[in-house]
Amino acid sequence: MKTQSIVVIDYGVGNLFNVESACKALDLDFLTTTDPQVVSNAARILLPGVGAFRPAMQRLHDGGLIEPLRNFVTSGRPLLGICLGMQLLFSTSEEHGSWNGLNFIPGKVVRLHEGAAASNSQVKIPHIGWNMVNRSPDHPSQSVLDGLPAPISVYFNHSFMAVPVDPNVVLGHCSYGENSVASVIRHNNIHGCQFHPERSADAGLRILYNFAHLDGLGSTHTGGY
Amino acid sequence: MGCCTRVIARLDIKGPNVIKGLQFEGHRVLGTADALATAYYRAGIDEIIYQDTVASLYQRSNIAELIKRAATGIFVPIAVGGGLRSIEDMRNVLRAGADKVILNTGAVKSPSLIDAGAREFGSQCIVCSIETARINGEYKVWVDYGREVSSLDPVSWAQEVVNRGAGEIIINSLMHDGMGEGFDLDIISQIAEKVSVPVVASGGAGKREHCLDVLRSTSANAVVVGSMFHYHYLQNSTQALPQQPSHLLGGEIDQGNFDFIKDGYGGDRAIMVQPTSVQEVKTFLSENGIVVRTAISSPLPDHRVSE
Amino acid sequence: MSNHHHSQLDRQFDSLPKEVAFCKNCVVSNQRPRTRFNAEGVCSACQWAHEKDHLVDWIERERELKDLCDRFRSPTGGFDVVVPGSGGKDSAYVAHQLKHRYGMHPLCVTWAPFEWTPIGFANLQAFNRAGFTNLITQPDGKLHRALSRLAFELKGDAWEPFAYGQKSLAFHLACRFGIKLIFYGENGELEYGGSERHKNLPKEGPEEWKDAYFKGASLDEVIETGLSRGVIEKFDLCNASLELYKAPPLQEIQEHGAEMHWFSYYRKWTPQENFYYAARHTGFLTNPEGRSEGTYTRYASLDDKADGFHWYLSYMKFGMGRASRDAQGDIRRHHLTREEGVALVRRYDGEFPARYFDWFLKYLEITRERFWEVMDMYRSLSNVWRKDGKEWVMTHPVK
Repeated sequence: MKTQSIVVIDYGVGNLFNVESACKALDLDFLTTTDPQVVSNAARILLPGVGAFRPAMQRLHDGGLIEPLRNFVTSGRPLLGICLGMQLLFSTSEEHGSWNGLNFIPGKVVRLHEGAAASNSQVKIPHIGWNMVNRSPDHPSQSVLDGLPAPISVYFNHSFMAVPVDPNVVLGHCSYGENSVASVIRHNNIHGCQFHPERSADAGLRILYNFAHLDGLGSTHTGGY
Repeated sequence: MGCCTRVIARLDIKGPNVIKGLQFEGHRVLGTADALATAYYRAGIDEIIYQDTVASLYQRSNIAELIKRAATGIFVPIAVGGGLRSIEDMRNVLRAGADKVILNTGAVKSPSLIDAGAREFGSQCIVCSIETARINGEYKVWVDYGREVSSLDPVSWAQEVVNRGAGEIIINSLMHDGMGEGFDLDIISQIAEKVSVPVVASGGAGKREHCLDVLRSTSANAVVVGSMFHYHYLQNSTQALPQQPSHLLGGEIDQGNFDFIKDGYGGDRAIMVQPTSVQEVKTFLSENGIVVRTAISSPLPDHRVSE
Repeated sequence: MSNHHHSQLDRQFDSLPKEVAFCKNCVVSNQRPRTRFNAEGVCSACQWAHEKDHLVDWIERERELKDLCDRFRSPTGGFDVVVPGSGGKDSAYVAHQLKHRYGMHPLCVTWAPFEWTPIGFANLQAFNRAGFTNLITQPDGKLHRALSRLAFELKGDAWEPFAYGQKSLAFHLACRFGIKLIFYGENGELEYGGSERHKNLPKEGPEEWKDAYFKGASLDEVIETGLSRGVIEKFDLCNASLELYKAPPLQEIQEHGAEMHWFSYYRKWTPQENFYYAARHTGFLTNPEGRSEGTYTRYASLDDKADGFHWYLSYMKFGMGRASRDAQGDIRRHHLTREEGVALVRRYDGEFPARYFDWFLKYLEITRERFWEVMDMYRSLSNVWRKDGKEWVMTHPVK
């Protein structure tokens, strides 16, 4: 089955080039845009993001992208938020203040704690590096993690993490010090990766591939697999 | 459980080539950036640093094209430094596919550049590289790719850059770099225990034991390896050999010392390190209790290759 | 002091072209004495570099070296080759190669610098500890200082007495020890674009030195001129040490059968590879204080506090200092593009060697004003400087 075209949102924040390169390498049909109209008509959306919460929300707002995104999500079409792009999906963030997010998924974004789990030492913030994402016990059978072993090692670079109201939203998590970091999330048609799949070698590329092949119900079409 | 320890390859760039010196001096060409980066990606490297060694001389950065090529085929993080002096410089490099920018001379000359960069791009994009060596017995911060010494003390400078918004620090020991005798454990541990951001150790790895030493004796979160990897992959990868330098003297292609490559490996052409592969280092670290990333193969359905 | 054209003994000015031109390939200009440009505007050193790359049969040359060593090697393991050096990368390479690759038994000799830098002395010691016998010769210090002062007054180059001894010492010791072979590193004239007389010859003798190395005025002439002009007042002409500044009489050399060869004739000379080699085999370290003043490198000519002033003078006379010299070589060896060489020269060439200035003035017993008087005199003689009000401006910066 031919994948539908992915719209990658350019709102001036994030490493577009790498997301695009990954899509190209996977032979995915994609289009980068700032145009709210294109967003409204998209079949599926990738929302990247790097940087701080408030400026990112501001840019989405200034770009007239919030309403189209809301409509898109309401219509049940698949969306994948990456890193900051995932955090924006939530209700609020405490990064440098208290800010409202897109509120597509109830929950808040909080700072990582410096405490290490087992000792009195601290972990470094930001959380930079490859960490192991384990699947949650109630992980549904079909998601962006399809076809991947468990755990997977993926690349993180962040100081804040999302804490959803409903823990079932978390499909995959990793440990960092005393933090349990929501790493892969899904709320109906809304998906998110706190890590950077476009920078996570084979594992990350597979995740992007899976997202591109999900149907509206969240199951993957895999052709001859 | 926490983060894996990263094993990072550093490419010192001159034109299209990877060069490598001793104590930041000399510019032996050890391959093209494209070929070596690809070799490292395939070998399971966790991250690649591109250090432009002539940008600050020319007051401009030409590295964007190189980064674009790299980012097109390499799907691990890329950090880029060398001659970055302004927000525009940083933006160009990030747009070209860098995940992080590395500041040194620019930040020392104008510390507010760090703040501005962190505000504009986020702290996680801003890495400060601290080149350090002792002079008259005291550690100082060096700038301009090992050419000039500043009056700054590296430990307090490290704290300052973090306060200004740097998300990561690389400590590069000038006098150990390329010498293959191990990292400068003293200054690395001094800095690592004082800052709250991840610290990356760089400069001096000559055998895999050195990587273990620095991770055990200091709280560094990652190690950078240069010569030790380059000399290994150079031997084993004919693709890493650049084209013969043009017969036109002084032509564009004359960027770096090709004599080593042309006249063979070993023999008279001296090497300071034990050439070692990425996997050998990772396996060794793993056997000694350091958690490292093992690359997995996730074949795509219908056997599409992801590279 | 007189500012006349004739008050200085550097005869090189007489033959410099008035029109300044730069080599198309490297950054040298035609102001460098004895440098020639060909019809394409490429200097002789660059042409030689091209020949090194493409025309010289290095395998054959090495065969000649092996034959030479076979002829001169001591069957009893006694010293059989004199290698002059300073503990720097080049002599370290030569000595180590002769010993380990060619089975010779080098006696290394060092003509002491005016004043060792800490890194220079450390590198010399490291070299010695790598397994080499080294004879350090210090001429009469009072004499050396007087000659240095003289050379400064008459030629602007206080460093020159060092050069005299550096050339001669090897012959003295070779004759004294009965060693017939002397090996220098590089044929400086050929590698840097001076006389091409010895392009295809491995050796030279002292009879050829006057013009090539001493700016056309030998030591005797310098002393005589100095005395006659009252630049030096009292002088002990019977000082036995004076002997060391000149080669032994030609006859003596011929009787002993001493020959001086260049390693660069036999093996393709790449100073940067010598650096890597010396770091690996003789504990050579770069300058821990950063780049040397007046250039971008940290591994070349590290050992003498007086060194910087020799290069600064060259900058005054010809508009080319240390950075230019380093860049010329690096361009010829394909380590740098010309563009990078130009950028490096513009940034670093002519940087004043301030670090040891006070030492230098004290050593020569001259004032700051006198120093600049002499520098400015050469500048006014040169073809590359002009005075713009109070400032000196280069008429032809490299581009």
